[in-house]
Amino acid sequence: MTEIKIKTFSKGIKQPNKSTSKNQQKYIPYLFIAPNLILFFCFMVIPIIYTFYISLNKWDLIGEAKWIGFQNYVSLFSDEIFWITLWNTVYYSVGTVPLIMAISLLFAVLLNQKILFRPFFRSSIYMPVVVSTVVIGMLWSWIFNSDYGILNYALNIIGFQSIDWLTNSKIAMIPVIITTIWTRTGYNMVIYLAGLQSIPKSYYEASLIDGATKMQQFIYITFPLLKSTNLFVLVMAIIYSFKSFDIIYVMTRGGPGTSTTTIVQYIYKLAFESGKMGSASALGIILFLIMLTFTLIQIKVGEDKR
Amino acid sequence: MKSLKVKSILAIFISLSIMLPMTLTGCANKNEPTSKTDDTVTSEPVTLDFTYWEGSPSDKKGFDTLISKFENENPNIKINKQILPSGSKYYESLDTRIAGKQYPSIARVQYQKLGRYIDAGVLLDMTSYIDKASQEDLIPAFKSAVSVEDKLYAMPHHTDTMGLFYNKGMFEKAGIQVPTSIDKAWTWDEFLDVARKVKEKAGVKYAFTYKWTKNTGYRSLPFLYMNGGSILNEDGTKAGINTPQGLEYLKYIETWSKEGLISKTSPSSNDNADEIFASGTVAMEFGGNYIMSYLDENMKGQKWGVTYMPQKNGKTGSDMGGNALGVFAKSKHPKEAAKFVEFMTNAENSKQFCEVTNFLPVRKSVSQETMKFATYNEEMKLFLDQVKTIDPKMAAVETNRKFQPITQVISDNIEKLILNGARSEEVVKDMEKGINEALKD
Repeated sequence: MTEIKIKTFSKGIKQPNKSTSKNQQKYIPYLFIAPNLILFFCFMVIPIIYTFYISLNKWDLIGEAKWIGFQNYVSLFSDEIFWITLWNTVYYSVGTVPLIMAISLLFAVLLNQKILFRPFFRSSIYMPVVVSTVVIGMLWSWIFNSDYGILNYALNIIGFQSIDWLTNSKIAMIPVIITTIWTRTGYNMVIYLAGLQSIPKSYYEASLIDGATKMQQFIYITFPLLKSTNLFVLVMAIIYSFKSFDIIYVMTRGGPGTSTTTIVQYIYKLAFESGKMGSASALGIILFLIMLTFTLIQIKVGEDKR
Repeated sequence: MKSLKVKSILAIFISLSIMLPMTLTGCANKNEPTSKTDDTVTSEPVTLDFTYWEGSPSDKKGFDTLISKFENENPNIKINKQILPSGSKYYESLDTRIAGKQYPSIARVQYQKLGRYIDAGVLLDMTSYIDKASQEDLIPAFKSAVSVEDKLYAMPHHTDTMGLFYNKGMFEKAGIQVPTSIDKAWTWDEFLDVARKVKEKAGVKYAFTYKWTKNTGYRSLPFLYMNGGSILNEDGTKAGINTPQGLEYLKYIETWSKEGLISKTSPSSNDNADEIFASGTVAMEFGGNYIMSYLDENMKGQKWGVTYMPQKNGKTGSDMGGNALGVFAKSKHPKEAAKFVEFMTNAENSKQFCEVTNFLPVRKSVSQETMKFATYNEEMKLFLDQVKTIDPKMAAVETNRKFQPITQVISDNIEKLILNGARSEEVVKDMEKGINEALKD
């Protein structure tokens, strides 16, 4: 439907004078997108190409770069830590994405109803989004601190043993996941709210006449009509989880050991702590390819839907 | 028709006016600053970029006073203060500037970070710019920290060092007396007994904590060097940790961890050891002299004291803290920059700086009798004793060009002892392997 609209619209412009408008169509649109395009080239395309170039070198940022071809990639694939960080990233993703989606949908449905203090609840759930992630990381690492954290204090009161949340390599990922969920729920809730509000009221009214229960309404009307919102939230949440850096850095610095080191953490560690800019860039390119794949899948699925 | 043309011209103009500044700021490749070759100090007005961080309000006062004094004495030189946040972010931004060839003139650099910059050849060889007598006046450990093959690549500015902080109330409860002089400092075994006793009698969760977090695992090295061990071999080409002395040092840390004497504070974590001590979770902290004002502010209702680092077979040691000032060889006015560094680090001015900021001097001529610290004068006397025990061999290793990745290896392996209950016999092998790999590439 939208395509037809655009066609008639452009026809309308063409009619007064064909030759000039054709020429104008050649460059005017480009001029209008130029500012954005230039920014995109300066801060995305050129850095990506340059990163690829760095990834073919051995370089510690302040010394001379030495050309080594694809050696960085070869050594990355035989690097045990690379596979651990890839696994950690997937673990973090699988831990955060479904829960974020479920919880933010739940809140969206609840707060889409007319309840008392609705604006207050909405803004309090959205609040973590506007708080600096570094502050959030500090806050939750205090809560989870094994010696003076409030969580262990509460556990002790009700008779449980203290747990080394952030210092036990087997469970350190869990506090990080919980914190991420807390941080990201608000943002996704707003997207779901927008999705919910775009569903016409008449569907619900019709179903009510047919005698549908609230649950049936959710299963047969709300959820199917939220398909595109779901897809959007899913892809954004996956991308976010793959890129996530600050919360993990503040809370655990990727530790203990490599237990919470995700790909981005490892890139940072390689570049600025081990001084291996080349390896870090190679890993950056690998992450770029992974993200590209997700985006292509999103576009593909989005097309199929239409 | 006409209006369309006008509109399109307008559109081009607007987009260009938006694009142009963007291309200039975003994509433009600024020219590399050309290095001046003549050695004379010009009378032309010169501006020097000085990158540093201010660790505390007194740090700020120390720098501000001396910089204005310098500017008054040298009216043609202006110091452009470029104050950055401290910690790893400082070095990231410095490295990025170097990579982009936007050199500052002068930078404040920790001794442990110096090796990389010397190795990359970005620092000016200052041997000919600094007075010979002034060079001879430096305490050997610090001279060796900034020199490679007798060439001086930075000037030591000040130092700080570690002592053993303790909670006075808890020590009273446990009936523990602290040593009265450095040669009566606790031996390794005595320290273990003290830790066990205070843990039991004062009812604390752990006996002590160690300020080696945020990847400063090298702060544990005094224990290795007081035991006669070494992290690298004689010529610094290979790991030298896998020796009986090295194993003993790791075993000592393993004992701390196994008996639950040390808090679960890993060198690779972001934990705040000062907070753990100030909150009363532990009775002692191995910490630097710079934490004293933090303790006063945060230890509500409790008193702290400080005593000497433990000793082994009559030898003690401590951490080499503090910073040097270096000049970038490719900055615009190296000669003037060197003059500024000489001014900041000379005996008189560095003494004044240390007195204001509670740092320790790095010069032989600045004797401890004449030092008058603005605050904590009594405690600082103890640190002045302790600072002399820094092993020059340790100082040389800590400014090795590969010390940054080596620190990473030290931190990661101590973490295994503290958190994972690893055995020191295995950790020493991992550490040897890790250090050799770090040295190789």
